[in-house]
Amino acid sequence: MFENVAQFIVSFLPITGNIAEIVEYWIYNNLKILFILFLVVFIISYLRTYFPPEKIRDYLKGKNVVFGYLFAIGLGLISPFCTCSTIPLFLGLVSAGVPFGIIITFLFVSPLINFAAIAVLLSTLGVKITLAYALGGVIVAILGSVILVKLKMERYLISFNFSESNKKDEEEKKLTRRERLKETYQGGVEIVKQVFPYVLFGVTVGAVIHGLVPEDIISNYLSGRFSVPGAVIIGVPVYTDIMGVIPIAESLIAKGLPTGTAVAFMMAVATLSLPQFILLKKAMQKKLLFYYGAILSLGIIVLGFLLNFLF
Amino acid sequence: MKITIYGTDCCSKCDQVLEIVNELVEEYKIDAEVEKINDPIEAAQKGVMSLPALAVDGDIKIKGKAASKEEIKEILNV
Repeated sequence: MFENVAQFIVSFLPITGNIAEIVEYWIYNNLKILFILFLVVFIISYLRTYFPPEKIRDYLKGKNVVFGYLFAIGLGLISPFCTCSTIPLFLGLVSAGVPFGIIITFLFVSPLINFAAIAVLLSTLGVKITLAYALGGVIVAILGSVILVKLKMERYLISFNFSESNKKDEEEKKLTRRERLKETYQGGVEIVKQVFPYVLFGVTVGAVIHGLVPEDIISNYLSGRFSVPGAVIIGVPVYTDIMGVIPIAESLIAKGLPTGTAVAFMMAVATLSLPQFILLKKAMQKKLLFYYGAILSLGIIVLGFLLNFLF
Repeated sequence: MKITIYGTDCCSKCDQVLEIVNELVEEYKIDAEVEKINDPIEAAQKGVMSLPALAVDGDIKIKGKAASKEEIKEILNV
């Protein structure tokens, strides 16, 4: 459907050949990704009205471990796109005495994978890569948190007093459907607004790669043995939303970039970012932060190698 | 009165709230001290688990959403 729209628009423009193809690709991808983003973000925002942070905290307090882990993974999947909202929730969970393993699982999953990325990946890169991305992310998160628990890393969480003063007005207020929809709309619009520039940027870079970068450059230079750690290292200073990386990864894969390398790049960009770590440093001591970063990096690299080996 | 906005450096919604508060303070000549705290720990100590949040004289009035100008107006009684 979006393909037809893109073709239709391009047919009115005074361009032909390669340029026309790039523009068509650009319009098509923008339409498709933004459509999916809208849809998923609004569904997630609606779901989130049922899970205010206070409720999540109280819910997780006395849960058994297996269930807690599963819940933490689910929570990470629907968690918002910005660390600004992950960290306060993380702090709230810490102060409520939720088991460390559960909290840290949430902290691993939250930047690694989310529903919107899964939906867009399904439509651009297919079932296999999407599954690899989602399962890989979950496995890295679970292994990571098991390792941190075994190392008794909870010692290095920063302790502080969480105010009880607001407890009383936190009694659950029942929202009407109308209020829920209003919250959904406000939250959804905010997220789309926030992510939109990254999508535009990513699609533009992707379209340029699609139309102008010769295939042999990528298959000659970016597919060697070091391409996976290389992709992770490049991903560290690149700070963008995962939605902005997917279109770039898509055109790189089409030009011969190995799947594992592309997945590793996507994950590194989304998780290993300086602003996120600066914020995390407020909540944990250096040692834990170092282990968290090291496990993420290593996990992503191993996953990348494994996928390159499998596909 | 003292108006506190809790946020982080990288949170555009939080800046939005700060902007609206500053606008209102100027527009209605409210006698208020406005501050923005970019430390999630301090927010957590106040019981805030989602940002941005807004407090008047230490009482949390809004948390977890970029409130509209209308909503903030109501909170500030203008």
